[in-house]
Formats: sequence, C-alpha cells, structure tokens
Amino acid sequence: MNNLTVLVVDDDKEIVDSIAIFLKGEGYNVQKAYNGLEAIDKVMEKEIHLMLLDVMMPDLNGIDTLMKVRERKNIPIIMISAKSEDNDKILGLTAGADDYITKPFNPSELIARVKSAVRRYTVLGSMEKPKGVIAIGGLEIDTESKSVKVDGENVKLTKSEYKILELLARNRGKVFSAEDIYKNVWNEDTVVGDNTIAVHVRHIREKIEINPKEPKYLKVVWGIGYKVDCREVRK
Amino acid sequence: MKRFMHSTALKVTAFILCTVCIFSMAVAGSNLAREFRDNSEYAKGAFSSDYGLRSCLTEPFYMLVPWYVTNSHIEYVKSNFDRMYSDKLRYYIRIPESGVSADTEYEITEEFSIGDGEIINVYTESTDGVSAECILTNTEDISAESFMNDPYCIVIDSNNEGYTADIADYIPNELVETVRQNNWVVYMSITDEIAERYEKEWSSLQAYTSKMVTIILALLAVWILAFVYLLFTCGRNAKDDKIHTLLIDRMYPEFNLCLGGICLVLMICGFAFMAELLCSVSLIPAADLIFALIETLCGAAIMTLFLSIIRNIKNKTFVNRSIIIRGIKWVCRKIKTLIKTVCANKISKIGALLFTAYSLFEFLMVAWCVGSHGGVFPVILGLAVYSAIMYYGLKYLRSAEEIKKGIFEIRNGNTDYKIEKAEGETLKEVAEAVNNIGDGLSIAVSKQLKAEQMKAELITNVSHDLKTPLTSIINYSDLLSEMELKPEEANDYAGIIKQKSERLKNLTQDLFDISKAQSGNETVNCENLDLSLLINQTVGELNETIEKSGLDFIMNLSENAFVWADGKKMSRVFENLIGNIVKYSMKDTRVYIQTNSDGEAVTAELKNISAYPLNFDSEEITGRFVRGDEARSTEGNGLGLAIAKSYVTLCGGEFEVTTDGDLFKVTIRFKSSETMQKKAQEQG
Repeated sequence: MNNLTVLVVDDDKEIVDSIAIFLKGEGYNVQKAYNGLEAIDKVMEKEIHLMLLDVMMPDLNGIDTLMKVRERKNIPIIMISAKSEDNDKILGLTAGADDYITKPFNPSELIARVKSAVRRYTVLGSMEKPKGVIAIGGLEIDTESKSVKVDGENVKLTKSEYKILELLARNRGKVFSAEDIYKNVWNEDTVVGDNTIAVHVRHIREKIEINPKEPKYLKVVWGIGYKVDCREVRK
Repeated sequence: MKRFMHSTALKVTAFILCTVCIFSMAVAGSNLAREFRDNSEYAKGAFSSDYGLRSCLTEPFYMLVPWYVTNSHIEYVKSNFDRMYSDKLRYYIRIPESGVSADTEYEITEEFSIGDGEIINVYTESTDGVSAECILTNTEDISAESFMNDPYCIVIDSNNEGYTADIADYIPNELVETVRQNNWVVYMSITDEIAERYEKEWSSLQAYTSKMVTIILALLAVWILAFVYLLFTCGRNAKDDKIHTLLIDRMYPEFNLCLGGICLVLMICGFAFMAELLCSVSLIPAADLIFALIETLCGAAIMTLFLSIIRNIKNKTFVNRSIIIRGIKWVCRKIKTLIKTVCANKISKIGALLFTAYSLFEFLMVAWCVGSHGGVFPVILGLAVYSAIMYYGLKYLRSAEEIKKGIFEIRNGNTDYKIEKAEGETLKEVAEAVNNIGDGLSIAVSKQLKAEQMKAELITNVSHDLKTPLTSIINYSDLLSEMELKPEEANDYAGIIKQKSERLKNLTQDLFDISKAQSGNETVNCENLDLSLLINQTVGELNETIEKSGLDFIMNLSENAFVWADGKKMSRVFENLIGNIVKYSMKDTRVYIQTNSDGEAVTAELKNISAYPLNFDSEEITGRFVRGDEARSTEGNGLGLAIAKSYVTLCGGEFEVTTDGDLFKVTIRFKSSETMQKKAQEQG
C-alpha cells in the first residue's frame, strides 16, 4: 500500500488539502488536481491507482471527467459531491464510478471506502472464485467454511447473523420480509411486533458495511423487508 | 343492326318524314274542310260567321264523326230537308175532328187545286159514324202507315221549332194559315227521285270523307311510328351507349317548354285562322298552303323541342338543368345551412328562436297591413326584410358562439387558442380582448413555471454552497481533534468545533429536505407497505439509541396495516419521531407505539410523556424551526416534526399532534391500500 497513488480532484483547494492529509496519514501518495482537465492530464501522465473526483467543477464537470477517464483507464473512481439525492448517486454510478460519497463526509468513512476500493482493484480482481463462494461486490461468503470476508478482510458474524446473510446473499436482489427470514432461518413463525430481525440486520450492517447508515450490501426495503444487493455497475 | 337503327341518316329521315306527315295532314285536313264547306249545305251552316271561333273549330269535328261513323244517309237526307224547299215534297196533313182508329176507310171526297196548279186530294176517313177525319195530301197514297214508315218521313207539328217557317215552305200558301191556326200535324216525305239525289250526294261526300280521313289517319300512324322511333333513338348513336346531347339541349327546360307552348299556340291559331278563312266566302287557294306551312313549321319546332327534353331526361340532366329546380335546391341548401348553424349551439338556438318569433310576428303584421291593400310586392318586401334580419342576426349569434368557445378553451388550459371567426365590430373587439387574455395567461403560466424551476435550482445551489465550506470545517476540525494540541484546552476547543460542525451539517441537511418537501420539488415513490413492519424496522435500526435512553417502548402493532406510501420517507418520519421521543421524554417512562387497521384506514400512534411542560400550541409545533424548548438550548433544530409532517402529507396521509398535560401524542393516518386501490379502479 505504500506505493499506491491517489488522485484527489476538487475545485476547492482546502478540501483537496484536507483529504490529502488524511490519505497521507494512511500511507498513500497523493496527487492533486483542481479541475477536470488537470485531472485527465495527471491520470494519463502518472501512475494513479485511485481517483477521488468531485462532481461540481468548472470547465469540465465531474461526470464528463469520469467518462473521459473511463475511456482509457479502469482504475477505481470514487465520486465526492454535495449532491446527495438518489438521482445524483445513480447518475454517478451509472456513468462508471465505483462509489459515491456525499459532502460533508466523515473522514474515516472516506478512508475506509478508499481502502476497500483499492483492495478490490489490486487483490480481488485477479482472484478466482472457488466453488461454494458467493461473491457480491467486495462481499465474499464461503458457504463451506461458513466464513465471510469483506474486501479481503475477515468479518466475524454470529451464527444467526451468518444464516441471515447467507439466505439473503444466495437470493441476491430478492426482498425477504421479516417473516420469511424467520421461517427460513429458524423454521418458526414470527410474532408480530418482534423486531429481532431488525436488530440482527443492524448488527450485520455494522460489521460488514463501511457506513451502516448507507449500506452497500445489506439494504432495508422499508415497510417490506430486507435484501442483499450490490450497486456495482461494472466488474 | 343496332348501328343501322341508330344511324344519323335514319334519324334524320324519320324527322323529315314526320314533318312531311304533318304537312300532308294539314293539307288533307284543309281540303276536307273545304269540301265540306263547298258541298254540304248542312255543313255550310256550321261555317257561318255567326258561330264564333270555337264553334268553327269544333263544329266540323262534331259533324264528321256522325257522318263518317254512323253511316246514316237517312240522317243526311233528313237534315237536308231545309234545302228541299224548291223540290216538290209529299205531304200528308191530318185534320182531326175526333179520335182516329186504324182501320178506317178512306174516301176521296174531293180534289181541288190551289195556286200553283197543285192538286190536293182530300180524303175523309169514315168511321163507323163516330168520327170523321179529313186528310189533305198531295199524293195518292193515303196510307198513314206508308207515310209514317217511310224512313224519310219527318213530322212537323206545333212542337217543332220553326213550325211556322217550315210549314210555309212545304205546303201551299192557302193551307198555311189554316194549318197554323189549327195546329195541325204535317207529315212530310220525299220522292224517290229526290232521295236518290241526296243519297248520291251523301255517298260522294262519304267516299271523299272516308278517303281523306283514311289518308289523315294513315299519315298520323306514320307520324306516330316515326316519332316514337325518334323518341327511342334520340341522344344515342351507333358508336356507344352514352347519351349525346346537342347544343340545343343546354337550354333551361323551362325555356324549352315555353317555346314549345308558344309553338302550340301558333298551331292552334293556325287552325283558327283557317277556320276563320273558311267561314268567310273568299278563300284563296294559297290559304291552304299557308295554313299547312304554319302547322308544319310549328309542328317541326315542337317535335325538336320535345326531343330535346327527352334527351335531357335520358341524360338525367332534366332536373339539374331546370332553372326552377336549381333555384329551389339553392334555397333548400341555404335553409339547411341555416338550420345547421342554428342548431349547432345553444346560443344560436335561443337567439334564432327569438329572432324568428319576433320577426315572423313583425312580418305578419306588415304583410297583413300592406297585403290588405293588395298586391304581392309588399309580401315579397316583407320576406326580404325578414331574411335580412335573420341573416345579420345569425351572423352576430355565430360570433357570440365563437367567443364563448374561445373563452371555454382558455379556461380549460388551452391558452394558445385564438378566436378567429368573429364578425361585427363590437364582437370583433371582444374576441381580440379574449385572445389577449389567452396570451396573458400563457405568459403568466410560463413565468410561473420558470419561477418554479428557479426555486428548485436555488435550493440545490444554496445547499451545495453551504455544504462545501462545511466539508472543510468538518475535515479540519477532525484533523485538529486528532492532533495533540498544546495547550490542553485547544483539544477541547477542537472537539467543540467538531461537535458543532456536525450539528450544522445535520441542520443543513434537514433544511434542504424540508425546503424540497414544502416547495413541491420532492418526488414520491409510493408502494404498498406494511406500516407495522416499517415501524419495526426503524425501531430495529435505532435499537441502540432506544436502549441507551432507558425508556420502555411498548409496541402494539396490528397485522395488515398496508398503506400506499414512500418507504424511505416514512422511515425518516418515524426516525424523526422516535428521535424526538428519545430526546424529550421524561426518564424511565413508557412509550407506546401502536398501529390500527380497520379496513378503510390505517392509523399509527406514538405516545410519550414529555420531560418538559408542553406549553406550546400543538398546531404550531409542526412549524419550521418551532421548538418545544423555547430557549433552544438542547439538541435539535425544530425541523424534525416539520419534515415528518411534510413527508406524511406528501404521501397522502394525515399528521396530527395532540397534547394532554404531559402526554405528547402523534397520530398518523393513511387510507388503507385496499381503499386506495378501490378508488383507483373507480376512477380508472
């Protein structure tokens, strides 16, 4: 990780500097750019392993910069933006970003996302998936050893938590209600008003998600149930 | 065969044949008439100038038929008695003294001669001594029967007209007076010689007449044949089956008929002329020719015109060409358009009725007043005035209808609609004004849209501009708090900055959310949700916070609490509400959360005991930035309830805050999914 370079792109100089300090504290090399054109030049010139890209920039905005970089490079790109609406996030991710973080952000969260993205790019992308492993984005569930890894790092789950996660991961994208989960995992009928499942889900999220409030894998479908799905757009 | 039948040569021949027939018929007719006039004493009377024109025309026909048809020479002879005054006729006078019986014997009592040397025999009938009758006769044959049975016998008695005159012609003057005075009956008869003479006359006349009539009838038959042939073949020629019309066919049928009528009148006049001439004594032979020519020309003209009409009928253009029918059609068309315009819309109908009623009344009044003075002209004038009134009135009404339509269109949102067909000064101005209103509305609407757009952009831009410096503040305060600062207090200060900047971040986000929700820029993605489940999920998410609070959450959630709402927003609502509960509830108290579903609506209630006295208006508390804590010292920015209420309202539900002492209750009500679906079905 010591020879990894991150390119930080934002038109606000203070923000770029502050992010640079965080990254340097984690051992990354940092390149800075203050607009889209500069960013493209730097990406082409230097060896960049990850790009942090702001959306609202003058001259060339973040989305266009993203698409232009994607024409040549396949490096992980994380969008940073004050635009926090779902539509904005969807736009960024569909355009080719790997992740999206909204301003103002928790610096630790930013760092965690950076680490996760880098790991996926360097480590996970090349590995073959053995049989019996359910892989969803950076989430790996080894059904034989009953172990869970997120971005290569092991995560310790309780038995119930593992069962719930496996059920949802096996049926990626399918929404299970609390009753369904109860039936499948414990073979019992649930009692209305019992929020065990909700609590379990919460615990799982805290363990596997970088930001449990904005889960990447284990999502709450309000009023209906839960599902596991990764909003990864590109392999 | 067809070619031959329809060839032009044949048709022309037929036409010439017809003309010749007419000519010949005319000549024959005039010859026959002349013959009658010249050779029939009886017919002569008919031609006397006393009779008048009509009789001149009709009398010959009345004569001809009996003469020719009845074959009665007896009648002929009898009717010519008038001419026989120079002949010696036999007569037989009966002088009754009393009744006569048939088988009486007669005796010549005497003979005496009178003036002319005529010998009169006087016979007496001797009866059985009862009665005696005297018979005067200038014949020797005294048999009454022989007289009476004689076909040529005529009886002259006082019943006949002209008794007096007739008597004088046939019996000796000496007897006349006596006969007259006594009203004796005279029987007349003619000698065979005379009979023969008149019979001869009659036969020759009859022969001539039959000859002529036969000729005329034959000519008529030929004419009929030729003309019928022409009727069938006119307009068609050998080449095709279409009807070919000539130039002459282009004229109006009425005109054609008028011309024909004139020719017919001329023909009749020709007859009359001829008859008139025949009545007068001097008759030049050329008159026959002139008569025939007139009749021929007129006949030919009538035939041509008639054929032209037939061609038109065949071609089906008779009706179309007729000027009267065209006129009627035109009037009908106008009336139809009128009625259609009138019935098309309500304003016109009412207006038209009023107009019609009034103007009809006026018209009738005028027509009556003026018409009673006589003449058609005033009536026509009244009609014209009425039509003018109707026309102008309807024009105005039509314009009014157009304007009404325009206003309705604009009212319904079609602000670009333009009224075009308005007529009349005043109404044109009104129409323009309405069009201007439409324009004004268009502009106002587009301005409004632009303002809305700008508002949406404003919210986004402001929020972005707030978040950017905030990011730096958070970042650097984070960095500061990581560092070991000297002096010690600096670390605390850094911590405080970090804490407060977090609070600022929350406030910014909340402000952004509430602005979007209340300005109408927020979109809602509604689904069929289980509200009870949703509350469970939210409580699950906030598990730690709830446990830390030490409050006792009592959940009473019903099944089948399905509502149609946006899940993400509703989770935020309950997050806010539970957050409030955790923040503001009195320590160690119970919190009640329950849902109810009664089929039509789903209600969620959250009840808690407030840590602080609730001295605010339950209405106001949901307003922006309104805080229960007037000092605004605790955490919170006053937007939590406002956001919750906005989101609930956006999803179509009701949000209500009620307070009772220290009890703080929030009620959220939604129509159940079933009800919503039923409604959707009804509407759809």
